[in-house]
Amino acid sequence: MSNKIVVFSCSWDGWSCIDAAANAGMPYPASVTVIKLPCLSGIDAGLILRALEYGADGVLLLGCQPHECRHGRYGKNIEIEFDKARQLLSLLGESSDRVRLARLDAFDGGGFIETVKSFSAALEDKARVTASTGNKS
Amino acid sequence: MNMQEIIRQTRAHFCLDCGKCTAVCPVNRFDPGFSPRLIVQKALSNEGGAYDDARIWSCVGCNMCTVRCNYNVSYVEMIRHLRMLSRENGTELVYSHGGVTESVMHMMGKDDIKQDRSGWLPADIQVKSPGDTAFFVGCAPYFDTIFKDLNVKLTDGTIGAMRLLNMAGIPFDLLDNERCCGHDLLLAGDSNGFVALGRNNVEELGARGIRKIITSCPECYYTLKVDYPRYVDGWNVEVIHITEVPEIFKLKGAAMKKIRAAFHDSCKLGRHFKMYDGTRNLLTSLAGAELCEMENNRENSLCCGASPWMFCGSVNKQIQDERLRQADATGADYMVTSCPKCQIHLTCAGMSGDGKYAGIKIVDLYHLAAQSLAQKDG
Ligand code: SF4
Ligand code: SF4
Repeated sequence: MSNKIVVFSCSWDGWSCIDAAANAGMPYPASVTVIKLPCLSGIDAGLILRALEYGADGVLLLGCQPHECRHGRYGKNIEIEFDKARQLLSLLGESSDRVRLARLDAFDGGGFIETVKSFSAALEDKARVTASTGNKS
Repeated sequence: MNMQEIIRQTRAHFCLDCGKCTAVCPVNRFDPGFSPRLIVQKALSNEGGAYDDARIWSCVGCNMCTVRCNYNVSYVEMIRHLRMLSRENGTELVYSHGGVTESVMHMMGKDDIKQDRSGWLPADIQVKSPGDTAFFVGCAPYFDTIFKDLNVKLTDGTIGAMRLLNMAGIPFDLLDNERCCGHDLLLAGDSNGFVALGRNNVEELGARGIRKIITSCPECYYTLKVDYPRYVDGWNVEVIHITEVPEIFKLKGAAMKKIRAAFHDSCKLGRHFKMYDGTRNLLTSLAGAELCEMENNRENSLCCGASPWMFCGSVNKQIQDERLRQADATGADYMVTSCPKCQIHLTCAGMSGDGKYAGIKIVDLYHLAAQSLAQKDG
Protein backbone atom coordinates (compact mmCIF):
# COMPACT_ATOMS: atom_id res chain seq x y z
CA MET A 1 0.00 0.00 0.00
CA SER A 2 1.96 3.00 -1.22
CA ASN A 3 -0.76 5.63 -1.55
CA LYS A 4 0.08 8.84 0.20
CA ILE A 5 -2.85 9.56 2.47
CA VAL A 6 -3.14 12.62 4.69
CA VAL A 7 -5.49 12.14 7.62
CA PHE A 8 -6.87 15.27 9.25
CA SER A 9 -8.12 14.01 12.57
CA CYS A 10 -9.96 15.83 15.31
CA SER A 11 -8.30 15.56 18.70
CA TRP A 12 -11.30 13.82 20.30
CA ASP A 13 -12.92 10.62 19.01
CA GLY A 14 -10.99 10.66 15.73
CA TRP A 15 -7.68 10.79 17.51
CA SER A 16 -8.81 8.24 20.12
CA CYS A 17 -9.29 5.71 17.30
CA ILE A 18 -5.78 6.27 15.96
CA ASP A 19 -4.43 6.06 19.51
CA ALA A 20 -6.35 2.85 20.17
CA ALA A 21 -4.99 1.29 16.97
CA ALA A 22 -1.45 2.22 17.99
CA ASN A 23 -1.89 0.91 21.53
CA ALA A 24 -3.26 -2.37 20.25
CA GLY A 25 -0.26 -2.70 17.94
CA MET A 26 -2.38 -2.58 14.81
CA PRO A 27 -0.08 -1.35 12.06
CA TYR A 28 -0.94 1.16 9.38
CA PRO A 29 1.31 2.05 6.48
CA ALA A 30 4.05 4.65 6.78
CA SER A 31 2.57 6.42 3.77
CA VAL A 32 -0.30 7.59 5.99
CA THR A 33 0.40 10.98 7.60
CA VAL A 34 -1.81 12.01 10.46
CA ILE A 35 -2.38 15.67 11.30
CA LYS A 36 -4.21 16.36 14.52
CA LEU A 37 -6.56 19.33 14.81
CA PRO A 38 -8.78 20.48 17.65
CA CYS A 39 -11.93 19.92 15.61
CA LEU A 40 -12.85 19.11 12.01
CA SER A 41 -14.90 22.29 11.92
CA GLY A 42 -11.59 24.11 11.40
CA ILE A 43 -11.00 22.35 8.08
CA ASP A 44 -11.80 24.10 4.86
CA ALA A 45 -11.70 23.13 1.21
CA GLY A 46 -8.45 25.06 0.88
CA LEU A 47 -6.63 22.86 3.36
CA ILE A 48 -7.92 19.70 1.70
CA LEU A 49 -6.86 20.84 -1.76
CA ARG A 50 -3.52 22.06 -0.47
CA ALA A 51 -2.70 18.55 0.74
CA LEU A 52 -3.58 17.15 -2.69
CA GLU A 53 -1.70 19.93 -4.48
CA TYR A 54 1.39 19.06 -2.44
CA GLY A 55 1.25 15.45 -3.55
CA ALA A 56 -1.17 13.50 -1.38
CA ASP A 57 -3.16 10.85 -3.27
CA GLY A 58 -6.05 11.11 -0.87
CA VAL A 59 -7.27 13.10 2.13
CA LEU A 60 -9.19 11.44 4.94
CA LEU A 61 -11.15 13.60 7.35
CA LEU A 62 -11.58 11.72 10.59
CA GLY A 63 -13.87 12.98 13.31
CA CYS A 64 -16.53 12.24 15.89
CA GLN A 65 -20.11 11.28 15.21
CA PRO A 66 -21.96 14.58 14.70
CA HIS A 67 -23.80 14.44 18.04
CA GLU A 68 -20.53 13.76 19.89
CA CYS A 69 -18.74 16.96 18.81
CA ARG A 70 -17.16 18.51 21.92
CA HIS A 71 -17.19 21.92 20.31
CA GLY A 72 -20.82 21.75 19.29
CA ARG A 73 -19.80 22.77 15.78
CA TYR A 74 -19.26 19.54 13.97
CA GLY A 75 -22.03 18.75 11.49
CA LYS A 76 -22.45 21.61 9.11
CA ASN A 77 -19.19 23.36 8.43
CA ILE A 78 -17.17 20.28 7.60
CA GLU A 79 -19.88 18.93 5.36
CA ILE A 80 -20.02 22.17 3.40
CA GLU A 81 -16.26 22.27 2.98
CA PHE A 82 -16.06 18.54 2.19
CA ASP A 83 -18.66 19.01 -0.57
CA LYS A 84 -16.83 22.05 -1.91
CA ALA A 85 -13.57 20.16 -2.11
CA ARG A 86 -15.26 17.27 -3.92
CA GLN A 87 -16.94 19.62 -6.40
CA LEU A 88 -13.70 21.47 -7.08
CA LEU A 89 -11.95 18.16 -7.74
CA SER A 90 -14.69 17.22 -10.20
CA LEU A 91 -14.28 20.54 -12.02
CA LEU A 92 -10.56 19.90 -12.19
CA GLY A 93 -11.29 16.52 -13.74
CA GLU A 94 -9.93 14.71 -10.72
CA SER A 95 -11.80 12.01 -8.85
CA SER A 96 -13.91 13.51 -6.09
CA ASP A 97 -13.35 10.26 -4.18
CA ARG A 98 -9.85 11.44 -3.34
CA VAL A 99 -11.44 13.02 -0.27
CA ARG A 100 -13.27 10.94 2.26
CA LEU A 101 -15.12 11.88 5.44
CA ALA A 102 -15.24 9.25 8.19
CA ARG A 103 -16.95 9.46 11.54
CA LEU A 104 -16.09 6.84 14.10
CA ASP A 105 -17.11 6.07 17.66
CA ALA A 106 -14.45 6.71 20.29
CA PHE A 107 -11.56 4.23 20.61
CA ASP A 108 -12.49 2.26 17.48
CA GLY A 109 -8.93 1.34 16.53
CA GLY A 110 -10.06 -1.43 14.21
CA GLY A 111 -12.48 0.99 12.54
CA PHE A 112 -9.63 3.39 11.79
CA ILE A 113 -7.44 0.67 10.27
CA GLU A 114 -10.39 -0.59 8.24
CA THR A 115 -11.19 2.95 7.00
CA VAL A 116 -7.61 3.66 5.95
CA LYS A 117 -7.25 0.30 4.20
CA SER A 118 -10.49 0.57 2.26
CA PHE A 119 -9.67 4.19 1.29
CA SER A 120 -6.25 3.19 0.09
CA ALA A 121 -7.66 0.24 -1.88
CA ALA A 122 -10.21 2.54 -3.53
CA LEU A 123 -7.50 5.03 -4.46
CA GLU A 124 -5.41 2.24 -5.90
CA ASP A 125 -8.32 0.92 -7.97
CA LYS A 126 -8.95 4.41 -9.27
CA ALA A 127 -5.28 4.85 -10.15
CA ARG A 128 -5.36 1.56 -12.09
CA VAL A 129 -8.47 2.60 -14.03
CA THR A 130 -6.96 6.02 -14.74
CA ALA A 131 -3.74 4.46 -15.97
CA SER A 132 -5.61 2.19 -18.37
CA THR A 133 -8.25 4.64 -19.64
CA GLY A 134 -6.77 8.06 -18.95
CA ASN A 135 -10.12 9.02 -17.44
CA LYS A 136 -9.75 10.39 -13.92
CA SER A 137 -13.35 10.93 -12.94
CA MET B 1 14.61 40.92 -11.79
CA ASN B 2 16.91 42.89 -9.49
CA MET B 3 16.10 46.20 -7.79
CA GLN B 4 17.93 48.32 -10.37
CA GLU B 5 15.97 46.75 -13.17
CA ILE B 6 12.66 47.11 -11.30
CA ILE B 7 13.34 50.81 -10.70
CA ARG B 8 14.19 51.35 -14.35
CA GLN B 9 11.22 49.45 -15.73
CA THR B 10 8.67 51.06 -13.44
CA ARG B 11 10.10 54.57 -13.86
CA ALA B 12 10.49 54.81 -10.07
CA HIS B 13 13.60 56.95 -10.49
CA PHE B 14 11.34 59.76 -11.73
CA CYS B 15 9.55 59.89 -8.36
CA LEU B 16 9.63 63.42 -6.89
CA ASP B 17 8.37 62.33 -3.50
CA CYS B 18 5.26 64.50 -3.93
CA GLY B 19 2.88 62.08 -2.21
CA LYS B 20 -0.04 62.39 -4.63
CA CYS B 21 -0.13 58.60 -4.85
CA THR B 22 -0.54 58.25 -1.11
CA ALA B 23 -3.17 60.98 -1.02
CA VAL B 24 -5.47 59.06 -3.38
CA CYS B 25 -4.68 55.51 -2.24
CA PRO B 26 -7.78 53.79 -0.81
CA VAL B 27 -5.67 51.59 1.45
CA ASN B 28 -3.94 54.63 2.94
CA ARG B 29 -7.34 56.17 3.60
CA PHE B 30 -8.11 53.46 6.14
CA ASP B 31 -4.56 52.49 7.14
CA PRO B 32 -2.38 55.61 7.34
CA GLY B 33 0.67 53.40 7.90
CA PHE B 34 0.49 52.27 4.27
CA SER B 35 2.01 54.69 1.80
CA PRO B 36 2.91 54.01 -1.84
CA ARG B 37 5.18 57.04 -1.75
CA LEU B 38 7.22 55.58 1.10
CA ILE B 39 7.50 52.21 -0.62
CA VAL B 40 8.75 53.85 -3.82
CA GLN B 41 11.21 55.88 -1.77
CA LYS B 42 12.36 52.81 0.10
CA ALA B 43 12.92 51.02 -3.19
CA LEU B 44 15.02 53.96 -4.35
CA SER B 45 17.08 54.25 -1.18
CA ASN B 46 20.43 52.58 -0.88
CA GLU B 47 19.26 50.53 2.08
CA GLY B 48 17.40 48.17 -0.26
CA GLY B 49 14.97 45.65 1.20
CA ALA B 50 11.71 47.22 -0.01
CA TYR B 51 10.66 43.70 -0.90
CA ASP B 52 10.71 42.46 2.68
CA ASP B 53 8.48 45.27 3.88
CA ALA B 54 5.26 43.47 4.87
CA ARG B 55 3.25 46.42 3.59
CA ILE B 56 3.85 45.52 -0.06
CA TRP B 57 1.14 42.89 0.46
CA SER B 58 -1.52 45.47 1.38
CA CYS B 59 -1.78 47.12 -2.05
CA VAL B 60 -5.00 46.11 -3.83
CA GLY B 61 -3.64 46.95 -7.28
CA CYS B 62 -6.31 49.54 -8.04
CA ASN B 63 -3.97 51.75 -10.09
CA MET B 64 -5.27 54.95 -8.59
CA CYS B 65 -1.73 56.03 -7.67
CA THR B 66 -0.31 55.56 -11.16
CA VAL B 67 -3.17 57.45 -12.75
CA ARG B 68 -2.46 60.38 -10.43
CA CYS B 69 1.33 60.30 -10.62
CA ASN B 70 2.64 63.09 -12.86
CA TYR B 71 5.66 60.97 -13.68
CA ASN B 72 3.73 57.83 -14.46
CA VAL B 73 5.51 55.63 -11.94
CA SER B 74 4.05 52.14 -12.53
CA TYR B 75 3.32 51.35 -8.95
CA VAL B 76 1.29 48.17 -9.47
CA GLU B 77 4.08 46.77 -11.63
CA MET B 78 6.61 47.68 -8.97
CA ILE B 79 4.56 45.95 -6.27
CA ARG B 80 4.28 42.83 -8.42
CA HIS B 81 8.04 42.68 -8.92
CA LEU B 82 8.71 43.34 -5.24
CA ARG B 83 6.34 40.51 -4.39
CA MET B 84 8.22 38.20 -6.74
CA LEU B 85 11.47 39.12 -5.01
CA SER B 86 9.87 38.67 -1.64
CA ARG B 87 8.68 35.17 -2.52
CA GLU B 88 12.08 34.27 -3.90
CA ASN B 89 13.40 35.24 -0.49
CA GLY B 90 11.05 32.86 1.26
CA THR B 91 8.21 35.08 2.52
CA GLU B 92 5.28 33.04 3.86
CA LEU B 93 1.96 34.37 2.68
CA VAL B 94 -1.44 34.53 4.30
CA TYR B 95 -4.09 33.44 1.84
CA SER B 96 -7.74 34.17 2.40
CA HIS B 97 -10.29 31.34 2.05
CA GLY B 98 -7.77 28.80 3.32
CA GLY B 99 -5.75 29.24 0.13
CA VAL B 100 -8.34 27.39 -1.93
CA THR B 101 -8.07 29.71 -4.92
CA GLU B 102 -4.30 29.37 -5.02
CA SER B 103 -4.48 25.56 -4.86
CA VAL B 104 -7.08 25.48 -7.61
CA MET B 105 -4.88 27.69 -9.82
CA HIS B 106 -1.83 25.53 -9.14
CA MET B 107 -3.71 22.33 -9.85
CA MET B 108 -5.06 23.83 -13.08
CA GLY B 109 -1.50 24.58 -14.09
CA LYS B 110 -0.63 20.88 -14.30
CA ASP B 111 -0.04 19.71 -17.84
CA ASP B 112 -2.05 16.48 -17.60
CA ILE B 113 -5.37 17.63 -16.18
CA LYS B 114 -8.58 17.20 -18.13
CA GLN B 115 -11.11 19.51 -16.57
CA ASP B 116 -14.81 18.86 -16.49
CA ARG B 117 -15.78 22.49 -16.31
CA SER B 118 -18.83 23.00 -18.49
CA GLY B 119 -21.62 21.33 -16.48
CA TRP B 120 -23.23 24.71 -15.86
CA LEU B 121 -23.62 25.54 -19.55
CA PRO B 122 -27.32 25.86 -20.53
CA ALA B 123 -28.48 23.91 -23.59
CA ASP B 124 -29.58 27.05 -25.47
CA ILE B 125 -26.06 28.51 -25.73
CA GLN B 126 -24.84 28.01 -29.28
CA VAL B 127 -21.20 27.11 -29.58
CA LYS B 128 -19.46 26.98 -32.94
CA SER B 129 -16.86 24.29 -32.83
CA PRO B 130 -14.42 24.19 -34.48
CA GLY B 131 -13.97 27.90 -35.02
CA ASP B 132 -11.19 30.42 -34.85
CA THR B 133 -12.76 32.53 -32.10
CA ALA B 134 -13.20 31.38 -28.51
CA PHE B 135 -15.12 32.86 -25.63
CA PHE B 136 -12.77 32.82 -22.63
CA VAL B 137 -14.96 31.89 -19.67
CA GLY B 138 -12.60 32.55 -16.77
CA CYS B 139 -12.97 31.03 -13.33
CA ALA B 140 -16.69 31.67 -12.77
CA PRO B 141 -17.51 27.91 -12.62
CA TYR B 142 -14.95 27.49 -9.84
CA PHE B 143 -16.07 30.63 -8.03
CA ASP B 144 -19.66 29.33 -7.99
CA THR B 145 -18.44 26.43 -5.86
CA ILE B 146 -15.89 28.26 -3.74
CA PHE B 147 -18.26 31.10 -2.86
CA LYS B 148 -21.52 29.24 -2.72
CA ASP B 149 -21.95 30.35 0.92
CA LEU B 150 -22.33 33.89 -0.43
CA ASN B 151 -25.17 32.76 -2.63
CA VAL B 152 -23.61 34.30 -5.73
CA LYS B 153 -23.78 32.67 -9.14
CA LEU B 154 -20.95 34.05 -11.19
CA THR B 155 -21.74 31.86 -14.19
CA ASP B 156 -24.99 33.85 -14.58
CA GLY B 157 -22.85 36.73 -15.81
CA THR B 158 -20.83 34.51 -18.12
CA ILE B 159 -23.98 32.95 -19.52
CA GLY B 160 -25.44 36.45 -20.00
CA ALA B 161 -22.36 37.50 -21.97
CA MET B 162 -22.57 34.41 -24.19
CA ARG B 163 -26.29 34.99 -24.77
CA LEU B 164 -25.53 38.54 -25.95
CA LEU B 165 -22.97 37.17 -28.40
CA ASN B 166 -25.41 34.52 -29.58
CA MET B 167 -28.14 37.09 -30.14
CA ALA B 168 -25.74 39.40 -31.95
CA GLY B 169 -24.76 36.51 -34.24
CA ILE B 170 -21.11 36.41 -33.19
CA PRO B 171 -19.89 32.81 -33.32
CA PHE B 172 -17.55 31.45 -30.66
CA ASP B 173 -16.08 28.17 -29.51
CA LEU B 174 -15.53 27.13 -25.88
CA LEU B 175 -12.41 25.43 -24.58
CA ASP B 176 -12.97 22.21 -22.62
CA ASN B 177 -9.70 22.62 -20.81
CA GLU B 178 -9.33 26.38 -20.51
CA ARG B 179 -7.02 27.25 -17.62
CA CYS B 180 -7.34 30.20 -15.29
CA CYS B 181 -5.66 33.21 -16.94
CA GLY B 182 -3.39 33.46 -13.89
CA HIS B 183 -4.05 37.12 -13.06
CA ASP B 184 -4.03 36.54 -9.33
CA LEU B 185 -0.94 34.37 -9.28
CA LEU B 186 0.96 37.02 -11.20
CA LEU B 187 -0.25 39.84 -8.96
CA ALA B 188 0.79 37.74 -5.98
CA GLY B 189 4.28 37.46 -7.44
CA ASP B 190 3.96 33.76 -8.31
CA SER B 191 5.54 33.85 -11.74
CA ASN B 192 6.10 30.08 -12.01
CA GLY B 193 2.45 29.36 -11.28
CA PHE B 194 1.42 32.01 -13.79
CA VAL B 195 3.63 30.71 -16.56
CA ALA B 196 2.38 27.14 -16.03
CA LEU B 197 -1.19 28.31 -16.66
CA GLY B 198 -0.14 30.44 -19.62
CA ARG B 199 1.80 27.64 -21.26
CA ASN B 200 -1.20 25.32 -21.01
CA ASN B 201 -3.53 27.95 -22.42
CA VAL B 202 -1.20 28.47 -25.38
CA GLU B 203 -1.25 24.75 -26.03
CA GLU B 204 -5.02 24.42 -25.71
CA LEU B 205 -5.70 27.37 -28.01
CA GLY B 206 -3.12 26.19 -30.51
CA ALA B 207 -4.61 22.69 -30.63
CA ARG B 208 -8.05 24.18 -31.27
CA GLY B 209 -6.87 26.61 -33.92
CA ILE B 210 -8.06 29.67 -32.00
CA ARG B 211 -6.79 33.02 -33.29
CA LYS B 212 -9.08 35.36 -31.36
CA ILE B 213 -10.52 35.52 -27.85
CA ILE B 214 -13.58 37.38 -26.60
CA THR B 215 -13.96 37.69 -22.86
CA SER B 216 -16.23 39.50 -20.44
CA CYS B 217 -13.99 39.24 -17.38
CA PRO B 218 -11.92 42.44 -16.92
CA GLU B 219 -9.01 40.61 -15.33
CA CYS B 220 -8.86 37.87 -17.96
CA TYR B 221 -8.96 40.65 -20.54
CA TYR B 222 -6.06 42.52 -18.98
CA THR B 223 -3.99 39.42 -18.39
CA LEU B 224 -4.46 37.89 -21.82
CA LYS B 225 -4.02 41.19 -23.59
CA VAL B 226 -1.18 42.78 -21.61
CA ASP B 227 0.61 40.10 -19.60
CA TYR B 228 0.49 37.11 -21.95
CA PRO B 229 2.31 38.83 -24.80
CA ARG B 230 5.19 39.80 -22.50
CA TYR B 231 5.43 36.77 -20.23
CA VAL B 232 4.03 33.72 -22.06
CA ASP B 233 6.04 32.17 -24.88
CA GLY B 234 4.21 31.46 -28.11
CA TRP B 235 1.22 33.72 -27.41
CA ASN B 236 -0.19 35.02 -30.63
CA VAL B 237 -3.90 35.57 -30.15
CA GLU B 238 -6.02 38.66 -30.60
CA VAL B 239 -7.92 39.51 -27.42
CA ILE B 240 -11.04 41.66 -27.29
CA HIS B 241 -13.44 42.58 -24.56
CA ILE B 242 -17.12 41.91 -25.16
CA THR B 243 -17.83 45.66 -25.03
CA GLU B 244 -15.55 46.01 -28.05
CA VAL B 245 -17.95 43.90 -30.14
CA PRO B 246 -20.00 46.57 -31.97
CA GLU B 247 -22.81 44.18 -32.90
CA ILE B 248 -24.04 43.78 -29.32
CA PHE B 249 -24.84 47.47 -29.13
CA LYS B 250 -27.29 47.06 -31.99
CA LEU B 251 -29.42 44.68 -29.93
CA LYS B 252 -32.58 46.18 -28.54
CA GLY B 253 -33.73 45.26 -25.05
CA ALA B 254 -37.30 45.14 -23.81
CA ALA B 255 -38.77 48.20 -22.21
CA MET B 256 -38.36 46.71 -18.78
CA LYS B 257 -39.73 48.30 -15.71
CA LYS B 258 -37.27 51.10 -15.30
CA ILE B 259 -34.60 50.15 -12.81
CA ARG B 260 -32.06 52.45 -11.26
CA ALA B 261 -28.55 51.05 -11.29
CA ALA B 262 -25.37 52.24 -9.60
CA PHE B 263 -22.50 51.15 -11.82
CA HIS B 264 -19.29 49.95 -10.20
CA ASP B 265 -16.24 50.14 -12.50
CA SER B 266 -13.69 47.35 -12.17
CA CYS B 267 -10.14 48.69 -11.75
CA LYS B 268 -8.86 46.71 -14.72
CA LEU B 269 -11.43 47.80 -17.28
CA GLY B 270 -11.60 51.28 -15.78
CA ARG B 271 -8.33 52.85 -14.70
CA HIS B 272 -6.11 50.30 -16.44
CA PHE B 273 -7.83 50.43 -19.86
CA LYS B 274 -9.92 53.60 -19.49
CA MET B 275 -12.95 51.72 -20.80
CA TYR B 276 -15.83 53.44 -19.04
CA ASP B 277 -18.50 53.90 -21.69
CA GLY B 278 -19.13 50.48 -23.26
CA THR B 279 -20.30 49.01 -19.98
CA ARG B 280 -22.45 52.03 -19.21
CA ASN B 281 -24.00 51.93 -22.69
CA LEU B 282 -24.90 48.29 -22.21
CA LEU B 283 -26.48 49.15 -18.91
CA THR B 284 -28.59 52.03 -20.17
CA SER B 285 -29.41 51.05 -23.75
CA LEU B 286 -29.60 47.28 -23.44
CA ALA B 287 -30.63 46.64 -19.88
CA GLY B 288 -32.74 49.80 -20.00
CA ALA B 289 -31.51 51.02 -16.65
CA GLU B 290 -31.26 54.53 -15.39
CA LEU B 291 -27.61 55.08 -14.55
CA CYS B 292 -26.86 56.39 -11.08
CA GLU B 293 -23.25 57.45 -10.69
CA MET B 294 -21.70 56.91 -7.30
CA GLU B 295 -19.68 59.56 -5.53
CA ASN B 296 -16.49 57.98 -6.85
CA ASN B 297 -16.96 56.92 -10.44
CA ARG B 298 -15.09 56.30 -13.67
CA GLU B 299 -11.44 57.28 -13.16
CA ASN B 300 -12.05 57.96 -9.46
CA SER B 301 -13.97 54.75 -8.91
CA LEU B 302 -13.30 52.98 -5.63
CA CYS B 303 -11.82 49.49 -5.82
CA CYS B 304 -13.85 46.50 -4.56
CA GLY B 305 -11.14 46.34 -1.96
CA ALA B 306 -9.43 43.01 -2.34
CA SER B 307 -6.23 41.92 -3.98
CA PRO B 308 -5.31 38.43 -5.21
CA TRP B 309 -7.13 36.36 -2.61
CA MET B 310 -4.72 37.19 0.15
CA PHE B 311 -4.45 39.27 3.30
CA CYS B 312 -8.11 40.27 3.27
CA GLY B 313 -8.61 42.17 6.51
CA SER B 314 -10.25 45.11 8.20
CA VAL B 315 -8.86 47.70 5.78
CA ASN B 316 -10.28 45.82 2.81
CA LYS B 317 -13.62 45.55 4.58
CA GLN B 318 -13.64 49.30 5.25
CA ILE B 319 -12.98 50.06 1.58
CA GLN B 320 -15.81 47.73 0.60
CA ASP B 321 -18.10 49.19 3.20
CA GLU B 322 -17.44 52.67 1.86
CA ARG B 323 -18.24 51.47 -1.67
CA LEU B 324 -21.51 49.96 -0.51
CA ARG B 325 -22.32 53.18 1.32
CA GLN B 326 -21.80 55.08 -1.93
CA ALA B 327 -24.10 52.71 -3.80
CA ASP B 328 -26.71 52.97 -1.08
CA ALA B 329 -26.54 56.77 -1.16
CA THR B 330 -27.62 56.84 -4.81
CA GLY B 331 -30.89 55.17 -3.91
CA ALA B 332 -30.40 52.75 -6.82
CA ASP B 333 -32.25 49.43 -7.00
CA TYR B 334 -29.13 47.55 -8.02
CA MET B 335 -25.40 47.85 -7.78
CA VAL B 336 -24.16 46.59 -11.14
CA THR B 337 -20.67 45.32 -11.88
CA SER B 338 -19.04 43.68 -14.87
CA CYS B 339 -16.40 41.82 -12.86
CA PRO B 340 -17.01 38.48 -11.11
CA LYS B 341 -14.47 39.26 -8.42
CA CYS B 342 -15.99 42.65 -7.63
CA GLN B 343 -19.33 40.87 -7.31
CA ILE B 344 -17.87 38.36 -4.87
CA HIS B 345 -16.06 40.91 -2.73
CA LEU B 346 -18.90 43.40 -2.53
CA THR B 347 -21.46 40.67 -1.83
CA CYS B 348 -19.23 39.33 0.93
CA ALA B 349 -18.93 42.82 2.43
CA GLY B 350 -22.68 43.27 2.32
CA MET B 351 -23.16 40.04 4.25
CA SER B 352 -20.54 40.73 6.85
CA GLY B 353 -20.23 43.66 9.20
CA ASP B 354 -23.36 44.93 10.84
CA GLY B 355 -25.63 44.03 7.95
CA LYS B 356 -26.28 47.71 7.22
CA TYR B 357 -25.91 47.20 3.48
CA ALA B 358 -27.23 43.65 3.27
CA GLY B 359 -30.19 44.90 1.25
CA ILE B 360 -28.11 46.13 -1.71
CA LYS B 361 -28.63 43.80 -4.64
CA ILE B 362 -25.37 43.31 -6.53
CA VAL B 363 -25.85 41.96 -10.03
CA ASP B 364 -23.75 41.28 -13.08
CA LEU B 365 -24.07 43.63 -16.03
CA TYR B 366 -24.26 40.92 -18.72
CA HIS B 367 -26.76 38.91 -16.75
CA LEU B 368 -28.98 41.97 -16.48
CA ALA B 369 -28.60 42.86 -20.17
CA ALA B 370 -29.32 39.32 -21.36
CA GLN B 371 -32.37 39.12 -19.11
CA SER B 372 -33.75 42.27 -20.62
CA LEU B 373 -33.29 40.87 -24.13
CA ALA B 374 -34.87 37.56 -23.18
CA GLN B 375 -37.94 39.38 -21.88
CA LYS B 376 -38.32 41.08 -25.21
CA ASP B 377 -38.07 37.80 -27.09
CA GLY B 378 -40.32 35.94 -24.67
S1 SF4 C 1 2.73 60.38 -7.13
FE1 SF4 C 1 4.49 59.66 -8.34
S2 SF4 C 1 6.05 61.22 -8.05
FE2 SF4 C 1 4.53 61.55 -6.43
S3 SF4 C 1 5.34 60.36 -4.67
FE3 SF4 C 1 3.93 58.99 -5.78
S4 SF4 C 1 5.25 57.84 -7.20
FE4 SF4 C 1 6.43 59.64 -6.49
S1 SF4 D 1 -2.53 50.47 -6.58
FE1 SF4 D 1 -4.20 51.33 -5.31
S2 SF4 D 1 -3.97 50.29 -3.32
FE2 SF4 D 1 -2.03 50.01 -4.43
S3 SF4 D 1 -0.79 51.73 -3.70
FE3 SF4 D 1 -1.78 52.37 -5.62
S4 SF4 D 1 -3.61 53.47 -4.94
FE4 SF4 D 1 -2.87 52.27 -3.19
